[in-house]
Amino acid sequence: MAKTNNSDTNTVESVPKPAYRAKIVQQPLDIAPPEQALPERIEPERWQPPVKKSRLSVGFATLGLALTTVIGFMLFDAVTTLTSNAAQYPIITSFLGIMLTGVVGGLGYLSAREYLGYRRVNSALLDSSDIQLLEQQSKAGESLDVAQVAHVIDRHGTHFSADSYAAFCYQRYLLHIHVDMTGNERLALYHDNVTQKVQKKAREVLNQEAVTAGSMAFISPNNLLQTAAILWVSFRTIRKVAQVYGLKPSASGNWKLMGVLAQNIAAQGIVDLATDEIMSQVSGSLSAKFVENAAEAVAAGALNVRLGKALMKLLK
Amino acid sequence: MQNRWSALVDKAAQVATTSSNKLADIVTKQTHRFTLTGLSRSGKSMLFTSILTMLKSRNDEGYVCLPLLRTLPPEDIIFTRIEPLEGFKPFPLTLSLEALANQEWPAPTDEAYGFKLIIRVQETHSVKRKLLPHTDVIFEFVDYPGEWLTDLPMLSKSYAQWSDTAWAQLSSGPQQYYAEEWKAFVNRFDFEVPPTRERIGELVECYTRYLKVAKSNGISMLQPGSFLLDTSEFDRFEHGFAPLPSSITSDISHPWFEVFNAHYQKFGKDWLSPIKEDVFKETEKQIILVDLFEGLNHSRQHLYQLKETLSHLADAFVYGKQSWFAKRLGKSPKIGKVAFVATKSDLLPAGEHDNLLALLEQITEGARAKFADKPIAFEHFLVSAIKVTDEGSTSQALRYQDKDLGYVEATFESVPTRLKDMESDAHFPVLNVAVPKDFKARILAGRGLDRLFQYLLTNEEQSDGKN
Repeated sequence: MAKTNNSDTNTVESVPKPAYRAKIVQQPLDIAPPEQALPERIEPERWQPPVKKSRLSVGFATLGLALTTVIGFMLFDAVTTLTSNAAQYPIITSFLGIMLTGVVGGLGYLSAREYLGYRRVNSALLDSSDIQLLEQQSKAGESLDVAQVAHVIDRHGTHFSADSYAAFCYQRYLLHIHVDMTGNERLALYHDNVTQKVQKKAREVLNQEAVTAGSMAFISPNNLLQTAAILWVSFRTIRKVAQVYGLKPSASGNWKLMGVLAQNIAAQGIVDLATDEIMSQVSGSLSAKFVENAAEAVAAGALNVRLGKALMKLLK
Repeated sequence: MQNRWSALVDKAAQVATTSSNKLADIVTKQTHRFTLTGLSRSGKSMLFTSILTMLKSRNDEGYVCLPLLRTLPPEDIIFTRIEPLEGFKPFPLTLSLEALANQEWPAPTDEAYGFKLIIRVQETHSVKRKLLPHTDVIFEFVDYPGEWLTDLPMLSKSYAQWSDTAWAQLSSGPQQYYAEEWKAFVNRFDFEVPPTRERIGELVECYTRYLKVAKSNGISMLQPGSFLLDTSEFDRFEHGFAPLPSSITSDISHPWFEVFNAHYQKFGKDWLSPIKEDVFKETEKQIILVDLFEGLNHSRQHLYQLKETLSHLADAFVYGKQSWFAKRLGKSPKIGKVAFVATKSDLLPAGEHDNLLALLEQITEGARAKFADKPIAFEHFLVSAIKVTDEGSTSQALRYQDKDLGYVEATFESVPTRLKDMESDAHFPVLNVAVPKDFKARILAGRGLDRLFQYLLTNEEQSDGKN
């Protein structure tokens, strides 16, 4: 066997032990480490529309004052008719003056409240459109500024009334937020936890109300009661959907909804006429009445959904 | 009669529900098998422990965590279940949690473990829900010793090629200091004496000693990594080998070459090939875990070596996009989506995370070049499977409990964004962090796993760049 020279290893030289300068300065502390708290827990969804406690509202009080004032003036007129000199009755005049002041004050308060509500809803709708704009930018792949997204979302979140489903979702959204999240991630979380869930809940409420509207239409014995029932369910739908969104439609929004409501009632009337006519042509039996009411119920449900969707569009 | 009728209706409804559930069991399954590629000590086991703990706490206990995992909203999850994966031992989750409870880090993985994580998600669409009420999202994870991974590139090399490369590696870079004893031993060794079992054992033992010392000093590219595991089923005393000087490997008739070449072939055929086939099955998605702190802890040279190691590892996998038909026809899948993940990101102040991400992007350049000409989606992530540090008094500082249970504040100089910017004589010593007592809360406070899995579960065609 030939002698082998381990040539690769002959060049072994002593290599100095690597030594490096530390780029971290460490300092012991005299305090105990803080305990990390477990994250918040998400409780199962148990949100229900808040039940208003029965109490005398300012609106009713104003109405009462107005009625009292009218009655007061009528009394005053009666008194002045009875007496030739009004100046002889200063107490009554003062009382009527106070009543008048109350009516004017009450009306002024209601107007101011409606104006503030209008401002709040408009501001919320503006923020909502800002959020939609940001969502479009995010979908287009743009990197969003965290501070801007946080500002728009926080401002939108403050508009929800405290007991609404939207406020409930917004609180949950806040639990998920971490400082290291990007603007796009925050926006996506808001979409998942607030926008999408509120829409879903509103649809659920709307479906329930459509069933109620249909049921009311089905059992109503005549057209007058049917119209009254639909009106009642419609107002209830508006209130419940608004409770989900945490926003009350503004005066202009209410007018739009009233327009939809009027169209619905007219449409329901046409459905009534059509079904009555068809039934009179076919027969007058119980089964025919059943079919007629069923058709009206379906129409009432569908029209209520139409009203609800108009409201959702308004508040979205 | 009425009772009979309602019983019939009930029965029909029950059959319909059962049928739709069974149909959903068969039809709506999304199976995601991930190749989790990570060198030894890159944090694979801790990552598994964390993701399982987080999902369980999120779904069963209602804790707010993984908020960015939007494809699996907690309110839609019916249950989460862990099942064994065929052909693998079950992942020792309980042992890992017990170790953490005893304030010890989970033991390093020394054999392959597998598990299936089944998440049943209810269908939210009202019409679809009637027909297919749920979808099962199945994750298949395999945990294995990182040392096996380093050995995979050996399959494509002859003994002579491997031996020459190994000599070149141990003679350069930071490992040359740790290889001095091995080189001196080879220098003294008389290769004229024919190989016997005892002499082979001596040589292999000395080489293994070098591997162990180099590993404990942060060297990443060490082959064969399997020799570092005492639990390895490959008998390195009986069939071991080591790199030989080129004066021997150039002579294929040399008895030492012949015997080591035979052992090397056996190692590839009987040990590595079955591992590659069983453990590293080709999949569609790959998570590559990188512990940058292993490099930062030592030197710039270590980081360059880590970059080179990752580049070599990427050679062992098949990348490419497959058509829908190819998938259905059962062709071997190709990796079409890759997530590069820097683990233990909580060991740096939050203000340095952007720099760490930039560094990660540079470290993965070589690996990414392997699929640069293919439509592969990839993204970089920072992950902390457990948050073991707290905020410090400044933006460049953080606090942690050390292994002597003292509370320490560490103030960092800025981490370089490019390798060339790192001073050659400086390092960021890794923090000697103890397992916190409140480990569950700290696992739930971990960051980045939701981004990572959200990315892997979505079907976007291609993305690039940052998280």
